[in-house]
Amino acid sequence: MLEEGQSIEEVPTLGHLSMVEELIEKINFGEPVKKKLMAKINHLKKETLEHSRFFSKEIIKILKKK
Amino acid sequence: MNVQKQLLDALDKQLMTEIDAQRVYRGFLKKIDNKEITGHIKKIIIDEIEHIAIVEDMIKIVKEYQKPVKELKATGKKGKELKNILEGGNSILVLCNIEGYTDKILMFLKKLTEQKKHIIYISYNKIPKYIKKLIEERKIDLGDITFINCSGGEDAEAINIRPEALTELSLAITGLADRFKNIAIIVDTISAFSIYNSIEIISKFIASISNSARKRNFIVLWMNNNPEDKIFNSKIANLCDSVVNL
Repeated sequence: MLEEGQSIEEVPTLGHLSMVEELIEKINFGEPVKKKLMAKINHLKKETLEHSRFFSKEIIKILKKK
Repeated sequence: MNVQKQLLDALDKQLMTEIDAQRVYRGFLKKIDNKEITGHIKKIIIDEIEHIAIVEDMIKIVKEYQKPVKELKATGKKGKELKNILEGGNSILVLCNIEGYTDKILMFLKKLTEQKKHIIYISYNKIPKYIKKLIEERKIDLGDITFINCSGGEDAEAINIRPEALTELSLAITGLADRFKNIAIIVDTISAFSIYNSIEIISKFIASISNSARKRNFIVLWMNNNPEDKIFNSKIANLCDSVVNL
């Protein structure tokens, strides 16, 4: 389950976020809209990385106990 | 498809991912009895619910954007950059921060399949079904890829090998190199090997596969999403033909 959690955070979540970010960069939305969208992307990224770190840390903890 | 539609499509996929994540994590709560872990997972579920609202808001902003949307010109730099990297020898260490990591893997997969290579994809410590879904979304033919699953769960469509069984993994790789001509190997991710194996064992494994790659002339990409681990990376770099920092 912990590996699955880590996989979800690192693969589809961060993978799709990169794709969304790349597309936003490609479009000339204008600065205010672009800023707004990028702030949201950065927030999602930050929390996704925190989740991934949590799952990874728990995997290591369990393996150490074993 | 125009670029605004592409963005809405990507945001829809992001939304589905966030919805799925909180559903899967709710399932975890029923199966895990460690209070510290379930406490943390509950916080993650709250985050995921917030993420759903954020992505819905992003979709609204993009849909309501009235001015004509123009696509900025692509430079074609990426394709050239990847081609140069793949010409850097048979054994290549690829360092990339975790944020853009999956995207870089997908770009390599696309490039290598365009070059008509059969890919051996080693999914280490991660369940292959998630990367398979992204590969399908990017319209890369899964038929060109053989998966080796080195995570705790079984995958019926992959070769399943325990993460600590590096001899078995090495034998599986050489067996596949004999079976398929023109192969390329993607190791996702070499940094996770250190959870189960010592640096000495990992070094021997990398040296052995790198030698095999030079002899049989195939490419192996050692992907690493932890570029900050300088000691580990410098030891591994010595065994490879080139190192790239993306």
